Order: sequence, then C-alpha cells, then structure tokens
Amino acid sequence: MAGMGILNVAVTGLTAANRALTTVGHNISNVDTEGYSRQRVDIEARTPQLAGGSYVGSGVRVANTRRVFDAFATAQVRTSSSSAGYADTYYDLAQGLDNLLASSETGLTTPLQNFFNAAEDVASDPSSSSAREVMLAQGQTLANRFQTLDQALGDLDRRVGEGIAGTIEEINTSVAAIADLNQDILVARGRSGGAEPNDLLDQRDELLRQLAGKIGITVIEQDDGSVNVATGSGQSLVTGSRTATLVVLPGEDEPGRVEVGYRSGDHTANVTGLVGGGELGAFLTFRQEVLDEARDELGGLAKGVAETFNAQHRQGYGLDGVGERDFFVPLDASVPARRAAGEFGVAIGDGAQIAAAGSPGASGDNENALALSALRSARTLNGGTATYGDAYGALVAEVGTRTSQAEVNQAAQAALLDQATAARAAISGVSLDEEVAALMRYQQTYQACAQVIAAASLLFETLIEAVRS
Amino acid sequence: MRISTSEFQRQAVQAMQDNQARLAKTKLQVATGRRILTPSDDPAGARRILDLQQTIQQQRQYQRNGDAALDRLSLEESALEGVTTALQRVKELAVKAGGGGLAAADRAAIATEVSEVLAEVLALANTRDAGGDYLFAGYRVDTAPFESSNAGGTTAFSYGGDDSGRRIQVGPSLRVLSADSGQSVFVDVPTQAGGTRDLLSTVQTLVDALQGAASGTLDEAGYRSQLAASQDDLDLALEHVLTVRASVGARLSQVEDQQAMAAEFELYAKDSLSALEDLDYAEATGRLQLQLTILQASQQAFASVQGLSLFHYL
Repeated sequence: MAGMGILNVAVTGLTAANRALTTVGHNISNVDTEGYSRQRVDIEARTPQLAGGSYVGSGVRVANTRRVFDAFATAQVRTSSSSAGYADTYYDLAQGLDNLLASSETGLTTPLQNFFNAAEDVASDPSSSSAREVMLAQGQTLANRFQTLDQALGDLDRRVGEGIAGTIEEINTSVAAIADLNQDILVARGRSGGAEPNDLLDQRDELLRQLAGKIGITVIEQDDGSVNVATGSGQSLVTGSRTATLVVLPGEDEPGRVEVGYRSGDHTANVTGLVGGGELGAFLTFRQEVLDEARDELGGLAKGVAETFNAQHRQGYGLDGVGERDFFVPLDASVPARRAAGEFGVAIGDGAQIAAAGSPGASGDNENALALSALRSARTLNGGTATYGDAYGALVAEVGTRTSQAEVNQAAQAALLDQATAARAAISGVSLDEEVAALMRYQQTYQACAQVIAAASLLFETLIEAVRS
Repeated sequence: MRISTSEFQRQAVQAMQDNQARLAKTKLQVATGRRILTPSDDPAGARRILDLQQTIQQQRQYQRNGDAALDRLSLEESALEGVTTALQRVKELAVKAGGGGLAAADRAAIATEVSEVLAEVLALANTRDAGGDYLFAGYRVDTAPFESSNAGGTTAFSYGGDDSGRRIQVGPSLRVLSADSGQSVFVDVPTQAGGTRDLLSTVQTLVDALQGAASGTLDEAGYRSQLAASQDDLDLALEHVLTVRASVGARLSQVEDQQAMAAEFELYAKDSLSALEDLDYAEATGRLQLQLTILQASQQAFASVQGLSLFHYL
C-alpha cells in the first residue's frame, strides 16, 4: 500500500499547512487588536512507522498553537500603565489648577492691589465720597474674586469626585470581566486537556492592563491558570471567579465629598487612604496633596485678610463718627479654612462707614486710612512673615512647582510605558511583513503537498493501468 | 529588534503628536508674547512676576498719592503767597499810618484799606481745596475754620479747626504733611510781647488803633505806641508765614523727589518684569521654524514608510 502511505503523508502536510495558514490569517486579522499576541503553530514530524525493518516517516502534525508571549514584558506594561495612568491624570488635574491661579482674569493679585490703591486714595482724600465708594467697590471686587476662586476650586473638587466615581465604576466592570475570563479559561483548558486558550489569555491580560491603569494592582497567577487580583494595599478584587467591588462612600467629615469604599460580601470598609496608583490614586492624591491644600491656603488668606484688615478698621471711625465696625465679614474660628474664601465678603454697605478717621467726628481725618493702607505691605500673615501678596504668591508658586513636577513625572512615566509597550510589541506584536512571508511559505508547502497527492494519484493510475493490461 | 506593524504605527503617530504638542506651546508663546504661560513653566519666575506686578502697582500709587500731596501743598503755597503779599501791604499801610500830618479822615481811610486786606487774609485762611475741603481746618475740613464776630464794636476771630494735618503716603516710609493746620499757620503766631496771638487779630489791632485815632478815642501817644507794637507784631507774623512757606517748599520738593524715585522704581520693576515675562521672539520664531520642519519631516516619513509592505509584491 505504498500509494496510501504517500497520500496520508501528503494529507498530514496539507492539514498542517492549512492550520498554519489559518493562524497566519488570524494574526493578520488581529493586527490592530489591542493586547493581541501573535500566534505560531509548532509543527513536528509524526512518529515514524516500522516498515520492512526500517522506520518510514509518516508525515507532520501540529503539536501546538501557541501565543508568542513573555510574562515579564507583559507585567512590565501593566506596572507602567499604573504609573502612567497616575501621572497622566495627576498632571491633567494640576494643570487645571495651575491655569486658574495664573491668569490675571482669575488671580487674586490684581483685585488685591486695586483694593489697596483705592484705600490709599481714601487716605489722600478722606472726605471724598467718590474715593470711598471706589474703595467699597474694589472691596467687593476682591470678595467676588475670592468667591470665584473658591467656586472654581470647588468645581475642581467636584470634577475629582466624579472622576473617582467614574473610575470606580470602570474598575468594577474590569474586575467582573476578569473573573468571568478566569472561569472561561478554566473551562477551556479542561475541555482541551491542557491546551492554552491563547485569545482568552490575551483578553485577560488586556483587561488586567486596563485595570492597572485605573488602580495599582498585584496579579498572582494560580496553578489552575486563573489569576488573583488585589489592590496594591492588599484588598482582594478577584479570587478565581469571585469578586469584591469598590463603592462610592460619602465623606466622613464632609458629606458631599466622594470617598472610596471596599465591599466584600456584606462588609464595607472605607479604603480612601489605602488605595493608590492608577487614575484612582491620582484623583485621591491630587485632592489631598494639592487641591485641599490650595483651598485651605486660599481660605487661610481670606481669613487673614478679613481678620487683620478688620482689626485695624475697628480702630477707626466712619464719617458718621461710629467706630468698632468690620470692613469685611468676620471669618472667625467657626468657619473652616476650606470654606472661608467662599464666605469672604464686604460687611459695610456705605462708603461713609469706611473708618478712615483715627478719632470720631472729623471728616478730614485720614489716620486710620493710612494705617489700613499700610497693611498692603505689612507682614501680617503666617506668623508675621508674609504680606497678603506674599501669601498668594506662595500659593501660586506651590501649585506651579507641583504642576511642573507632575509634568516631568508624566513625561518620564509616558516614556517608561512607551518602552515597556515597545518591548512587549517586539515580542508579541504582529508584523504584517512577517506574516506575508509566512503566508507565502505555507502556501508553497500546501502546493507542494498537493503535488505529492497528484504524484500518489499518478502512482495509483500506473498500477491500475498495469493490472488492466 | 523586531518591529510589529501596529507598534510601528503607534510610535510614528506618538512622535507626531509630541511634535504637535511642542509646536502648539511655541505657537501659544509667540501669539501671547509671553515666555511663562502658566506658573508651572517657571514657578519661581511666576512668583517673582506677581511680586513685580505688586511693586509696579504700589509705585504707581505712590506717584498718584504724590499728585494729591502736590495739589494740596501747591494750594497752600499759593494761599500763603497771598497772605505774604497781604501782610506786606498791611506793613506798608502801617508805615503810611505812622507818617506825620495825617488828618483823621486819612487814618480812617487807611483803616478801611487795612480792613479790606484783612478780609482778604480771612478768605485765604478759609481756602478750600479741589474737593471742597477747608485747607487750613486740620481734620475738621467741612466747616470754615476762621470766623470773625463783632460784639460791642470789638472784632474778634475764632478758629474752629484743630491742630492736625492730613499726612499723605508718598513713599514706602514717607508720609508728608499735605497742609499745615490753621492753628499752626494763623493762630500760633508769636508776638513782640511774648506769647502768641492769631494773625488776623494782629492785623485787627492796627485797624483798631487807626479807627481809635480817627475817632479821637485814642490819644496820639497811645496811637503811636499801638502802631509801633502792631508793626513789630506784623514783622513777626510775616516772618512766621515765610517760615511756614519755606517748609511747604521743602515738602513740595520732597514729594517731587519721591515721585521721581517711585517712577524710577516702577521703570526698574517693569524692566525686570519684561525680562522675566516677555518672550525672546528671535529664539522663539527660530524654535517654531525648527519644530515645524521636524513635524513636516515626521509626517512625510510616516506617509512614505506607510506604503512599504510585502503585500505589494504578492
């Protein structure tokens, strides 16, 4: 049965070439698929058969279809995604604040200077009602600017809150999908008797990468092929096919504030201070390190201005001879610094009440107006080390420095992620040229095997012809 | 190194985006003319800019305050110039009143003339500034500080102001007295007899003496002695006013010096601000050109390499 042997050998070649071409096609189709690893068929010679005292080859078989994959390179991309996700989001948020404080349309410098210029005009002409009205109006402009800034910082705080809530939702979606894939992979492996379901593994790796961009995670591979996922601080998110979820919790001190809860079964714990890394970590760190600080400093400045200006103002007398009046709405200890800027306002409603006079009853008396004007350059804040302008300048410089650091960090992390992505792609990425070359090769193999079948058929024909004649 | 198709594409696109971002920043710098677009571009510089803006504002305000001080000091100077002229005129009249061979009617005529000059001095002592404030009223700027009253044929003068003076901040550590109080200019005027008397009353004594001599209620010896005393007191009053004028002149020049200094500081701060804030256009346009070239090159490279594929040879 020489003819049958040839035919069978040729058919194994056709089958193998077919499988290889299918895989090439699969690679080409997935050239743009995120997280896809190129696949290769491993072919090997079949076990030879003993025929007439020697072993005769019996063709080829596909030993395995595997993905070209490096666990280290993939883990590296995952880690870099966490850092880059963090750095991107942090920089983005810091930039918003940076722009806000810098602009002369939104900054505090101009209205503060205008207000004191107006106060000096009152000192130069204390009986002028127009100078007094201008000072009152400039005081209101200053108050508006404090409120506008406070509002913008509040908006940023809300944006951060929405970001946290949105990220938590995305994290939960990814976590559920990873648990599902764990299950699918387990089933697939069982069905194949151990062969890896390459595409499912790629999908899970891709989901892990996306999850890492949202929150810092540790991934532990299990012997059964599933992965366990925990947050960087150790809260388990995925164990086999079981999941825990993150939830939005109202703040303990401020009810409007969004915090992060961890829910496993019936138990919910506040993990705001524990989770880090990724976008979620950036939102939380930015809020704590930069935004809260900026709001507290701005509020502290508002309180400082109100307190020190009022203290001097109370020592003087208005045109009506009344003293002991506050110019700005007093912001005492009952107003927390974080809210103080929003409550900054002018307390008096009439320019005549501006306490320009050092003693009651003389409209030409400008002694207190001079003292009020001098507050512009007096070091009254931060324990007598800073003027109003200094304190605002320090806030601007602080945010500027943080933003500039964030920019550097963002660029560095992006470069690292780039490198890791390139390193992974160098191993696992599909190259169309390479696939075309493989396509041509397997096509030739397929043609050659078909040729062998033709030869086998010729052999049969020869034999049949011989028998017939 | 093995290059995968999608990574090749990703890197090329990433490179173009980075080039675009750099170009966009330079474009914004060129469009605004500012080197520092946000504080993060140069945090220390941004803080210094705020300081300098503050300095500029403050120095401008000092100049503005100086203008207010100059207005009032100039007004005081011109009022006191008027008072000086008036006192000199009164002195001339006193000399004339001491001449021999004057009839009673002549003395009465001189008395009338001195009274007119006195009214002029009273008006000057009640000078108001551009804002309607009485200049020589101390802090009580709403009411006329000097008033004359006539009781039982005796004219007396009263001062309703106080002894304060409005000081104006014209420099970081200089508050200049923008007008002397009526008390110090017109009231606390030294007399020959020791002590002080207001300047208006001093002139009035001359009027009284002339009128007394004219009406015969004062004998010639009494008239002579009163006239001599009046003349001495007028000398002292004139000297007093000239002393005040000298101090006004000194303050005027002090304010002008401060204004010049503030202008200088403002200019200096503006120079520093411009050095910190303004873009070096030559450098920036050069950079813009370079970045444009790089972006175009990366786009061309991408387009030409995109066409390369083994598929074309299948």
